[in-house]
Amino acid sequence: MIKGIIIVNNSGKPRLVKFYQNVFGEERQQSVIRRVFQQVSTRPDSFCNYLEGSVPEWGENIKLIYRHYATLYFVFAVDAQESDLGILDLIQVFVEALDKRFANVCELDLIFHSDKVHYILDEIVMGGMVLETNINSILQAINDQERMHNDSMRKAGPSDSVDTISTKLGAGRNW
Amino acid sequence: MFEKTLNDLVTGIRAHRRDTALYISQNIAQIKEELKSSDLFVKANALEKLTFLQMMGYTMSWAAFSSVEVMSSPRFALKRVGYLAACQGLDQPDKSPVVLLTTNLLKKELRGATVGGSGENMYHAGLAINALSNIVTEDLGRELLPELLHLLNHPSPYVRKKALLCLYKVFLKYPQGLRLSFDKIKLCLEDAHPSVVSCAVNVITELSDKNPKNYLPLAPEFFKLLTSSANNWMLIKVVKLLGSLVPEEPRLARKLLEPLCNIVRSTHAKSLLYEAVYAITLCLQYVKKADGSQPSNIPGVVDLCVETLKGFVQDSDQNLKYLGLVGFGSLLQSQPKVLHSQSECKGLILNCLSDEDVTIRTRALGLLKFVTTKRNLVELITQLLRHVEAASGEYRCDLVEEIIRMCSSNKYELIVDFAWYVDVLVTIAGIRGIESQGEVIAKQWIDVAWRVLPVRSYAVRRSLEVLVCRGPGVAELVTDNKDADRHFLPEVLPAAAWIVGEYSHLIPEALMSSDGDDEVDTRYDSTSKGPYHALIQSMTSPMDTAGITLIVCNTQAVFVQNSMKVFAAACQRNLQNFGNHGMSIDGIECSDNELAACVDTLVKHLEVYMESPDVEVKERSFTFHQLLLSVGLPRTSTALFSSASLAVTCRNASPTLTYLLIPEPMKPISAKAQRRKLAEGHPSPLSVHEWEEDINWQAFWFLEDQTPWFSQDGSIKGTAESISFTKQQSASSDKISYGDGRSTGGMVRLRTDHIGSPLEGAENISFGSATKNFYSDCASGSSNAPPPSTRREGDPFYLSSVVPSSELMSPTQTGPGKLPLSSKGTKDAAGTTASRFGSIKLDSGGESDEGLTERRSDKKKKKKSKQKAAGVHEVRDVSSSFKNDFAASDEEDDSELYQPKRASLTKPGRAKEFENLALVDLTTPLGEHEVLPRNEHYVVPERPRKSEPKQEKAKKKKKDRKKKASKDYRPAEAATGDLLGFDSLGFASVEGTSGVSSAAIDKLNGCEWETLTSPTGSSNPINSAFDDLLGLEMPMESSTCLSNSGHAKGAIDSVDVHVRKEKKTKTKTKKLKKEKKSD
Repeated sequence: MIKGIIIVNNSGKPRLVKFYQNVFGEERQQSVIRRVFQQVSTRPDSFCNYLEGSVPEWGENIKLIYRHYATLYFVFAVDAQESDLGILDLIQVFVEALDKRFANVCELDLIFHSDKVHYILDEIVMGGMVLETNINSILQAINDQERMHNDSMRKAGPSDSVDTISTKLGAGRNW
Repeated sequence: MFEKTLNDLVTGIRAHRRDTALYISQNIAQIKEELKSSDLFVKANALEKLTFLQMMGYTMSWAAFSSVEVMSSPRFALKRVGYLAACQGLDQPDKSPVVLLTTNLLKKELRGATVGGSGENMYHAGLAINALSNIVTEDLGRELLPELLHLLNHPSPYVRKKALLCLYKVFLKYPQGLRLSFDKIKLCLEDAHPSVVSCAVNVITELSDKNPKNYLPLAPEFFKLLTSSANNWMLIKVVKLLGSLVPEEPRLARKLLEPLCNIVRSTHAKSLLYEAVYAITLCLQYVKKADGSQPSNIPGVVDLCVETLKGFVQDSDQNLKYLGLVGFGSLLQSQPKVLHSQSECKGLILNCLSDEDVTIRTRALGLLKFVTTKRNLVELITQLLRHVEAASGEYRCDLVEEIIRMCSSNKYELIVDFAWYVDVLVTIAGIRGIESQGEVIAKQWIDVAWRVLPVRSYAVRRSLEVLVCRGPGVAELVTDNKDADRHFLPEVLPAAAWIVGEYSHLIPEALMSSDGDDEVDTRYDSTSKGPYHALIQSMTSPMDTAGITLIVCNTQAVFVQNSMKVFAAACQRNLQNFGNHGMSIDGIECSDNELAACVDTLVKHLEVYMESPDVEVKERSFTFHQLLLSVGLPRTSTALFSSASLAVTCRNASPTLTYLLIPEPMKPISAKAQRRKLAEGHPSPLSVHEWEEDINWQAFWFLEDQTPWFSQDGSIKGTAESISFTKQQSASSDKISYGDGRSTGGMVRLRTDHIGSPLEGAENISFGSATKNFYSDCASGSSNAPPPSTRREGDPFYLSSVVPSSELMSPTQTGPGKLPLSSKGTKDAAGTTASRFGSIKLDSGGESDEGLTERRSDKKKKKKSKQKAAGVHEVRDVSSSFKNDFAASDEEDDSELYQPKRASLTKPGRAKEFENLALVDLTTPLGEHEVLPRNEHYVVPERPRKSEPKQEKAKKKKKDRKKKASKDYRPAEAATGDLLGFDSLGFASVEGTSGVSSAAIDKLNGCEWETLTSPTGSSNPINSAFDDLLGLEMPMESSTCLSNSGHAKGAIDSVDVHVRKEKKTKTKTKKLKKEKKSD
């Protein structure tokens, strides 16, 4: 199971934080982020992407699997039930999905659209388990929901629809 | 007024780099205001910002209620924000009352997925499932399980997938659900859509990680998947799953080898390849057949694994290299010898030790013990020691640990030259930054000196060096000696001290054995008179090397003890040769000067230690100080005595010191042997005469000699009692008169009756009692004291023969030797313990002995009847519970220092939250009582007839209103009132308003509604109950009513301001009353 997913930038600022095995309290969450960042940031890119560091909040036998893209570290904390290479691929899928969604994703996209990043992630991993790995299915779901999102904002709500209703009614009366 | 959007907030934070915290706290205040708004858009926007701030570490648990409100919006965009806020911000869902509010909302969403035909519903349901997977609690799980299971048949694979995965999270919190629904999960393995099957496999893999044997019956299906499927993602999971089943069913291991090998040969995906190889290595641990033979294809399989893993390790990709090493680690668990013939692999692994990446180095280090042989051990360790120098942090400790593990494995099987190993240990002890390993090194050091006889004198020599070089050294040597400031781990100092002390008779031999070229510097500082003196100086100086740090008390205690041992050896040194040559044969003698210096240093430093805050140090130094006095050495200053006369006194005292301090060499005893000794029971008690034979009375020559014992005025300076290990200043506190004992037996007769004083009897601890018995019996044996039986009357030690409770216990005692006593005093002391326990109970309970025993036997009976069924051996009494304690502690001791870590199959540290799930047993059929919880509406109990029409009236009104335009729709206030237990009030209000105009009703109802749903931020239990009931009343329509609440609120403008204000402070009941009055 994936215990948590953390995206931090090169200076340790969190860009996305998702705990699947609950770590309660913001204090502890922040300390996990700091710990993860400390362990990850000291490793040059030439090192392997696995870190058997310990994060006590998640218990023993946790492996940190991460990838470093430009200014961002994508860190997945997983237990022994996840495939080591599989998770690396999954990170790649996640980044591709972000890239498709934001068109040439960069750190700023993640900063200003942290909610959307969450929505994308939710289509790939749910509750700590891999939901979908096919990039097309993922994008399909993301785009559908994005469309619904926009529709629902545009659609007139029942309260301010007085005018529309009256015009409709008016048309009826005329008829 | 325009609210800041998330974008504005982020921009603002980036602009306020200097005072970010201030800016954020201002914004949080703003968000709090916005959340009070009745407009859901404003609320959602505020929540969005808050969710962002949560990521930065600001709590948002106070906004939980608002997120539930936003979740209930019909607009997808707002709903999403609410769900996200709930997932991220709900702190401890198990404890939050707000989670309960979501029950009906989620239920409605899950049901909604099946109703509508449009694809949009499926995404609405998806959101709800996703949220549920994050915030599920036991109650939520129980309530929503039927809906989730229903969704497993949903036409869209998107929903089926999500529902499946969510089920796992539900089971974590609500484990009983697993038994109820596992059949449906099994069906999903045959789903038409591959990604659903993949998710099902995923869920079962997770489940089987917690309790594999539940899923063994599914093995054939997975086997089929393994051979037929082409989806790599799923295959990885299947392989993982089968791997976790193998320990439960070893036959599966042999079956799996072939298909797994096929995958290894055919697949191109590295991830699957690795997982397959790893699974094979797991299987290899279990392939042995019942008759012990291995299947014939094993060598081929092993070769395939080695080849594949070698390929991984050779790869330039660091990730593959790492995985290759991990794979080797697993393979070597079952095939430890496989690398011995593979010199190429050996080289690869050794290369990895010099890799830059610490993860890879650590993994390679773990493999090293499989590569070492007798022949290459020395070379490897030498290389590793060089690595230690270069390494840092945790890895340095790992290296040292591994070095020691390699050397000590299998009782030092690989070590040829133990002197070399001692050197290695000394080198390691001098390395900084490996404090965590200090104790292990110390243990090894002692162990080697203890067990390996030939290397003992060399170990003494190295220990001596270590101790002496702690001193400031001799001035002229410091300049050209680079080792002058050598550092040693504080933990190894006691070990060195013990070796030097215990084998102090070997000191001359150790110093002689030097090859000549490297002379040991035996000077602690410029005043050192010789090796013995230097040692004593080193060990009694309470300061560390540079006088900066104090030595820990524990070490001090060991030092004091062993400096005395060294002193004893020094005294004995020239004894044999003294007078013959005037010079010892081996050239290293202990001159008069040195002895005198030793005495001087000892006496001076013991005085310092006597003021130690640590009892252990204090006790020992007191004892030894008194011992020195009693053998006739001066109290404080040696200035008055010539060194020659001091030396004579010392040499005269030598037998005593040696007899007391180093009576016979210690032998290494393993924990197992000790336990066996205990199990044998203790030997029959010795008779007084037998004891006498054991004691070397010559050692106590001075007891006959009167002169040093009395000062001029006749008061006692010291007695044999001062050699008490338990009592420090008895000599001065109670003056003992020496009666006829001295004249009759030629021995000082100790006052035996002081032992009998009640105070002492109560305070005696086991060790003390043994010692005292020893002394008292010494005296009685030689001085014709009254026979033991009579003397023992009235002595608390011997109560055992009188008190019935101990008799009661003795037959059940399997062996009194279980008590931690030396054999001499054991029986008596056992009795004491028993009687002491008895007396404690007596005091507290105020019962008679008989009552106590009766009650005890009653308890026994009860216990017996209980435990008989379980077949558990009964724990009978106090002493056997002692035994249990020992057994337990023995088990701990027994665990080998360097047992290789168990294979990864036993999963240590399984998180607590999985425990319950692991307990679920799927192998037994469902019982009748185990049915899915059914959701039933709460039926309002029938009311007395009178009120019924009113209720109906109210309901009718409600229905009428529902038909009206949604803006003045109000929920079923009457029903709510009832259920909340406000019957009379609720009806009164309806009654009261019935005569008034409908506008007034509107006003009242509007107020009430607003009060109930007002976003006070806190989780008002009344609010929640109301909300909950709302949902239950009309599951399908609650959304509309909830969604419209905002507008309804907005629409009612006739609500007067002061009511609004008051509603915050007053409870609903009061307000209702007030409203009624005003009307």
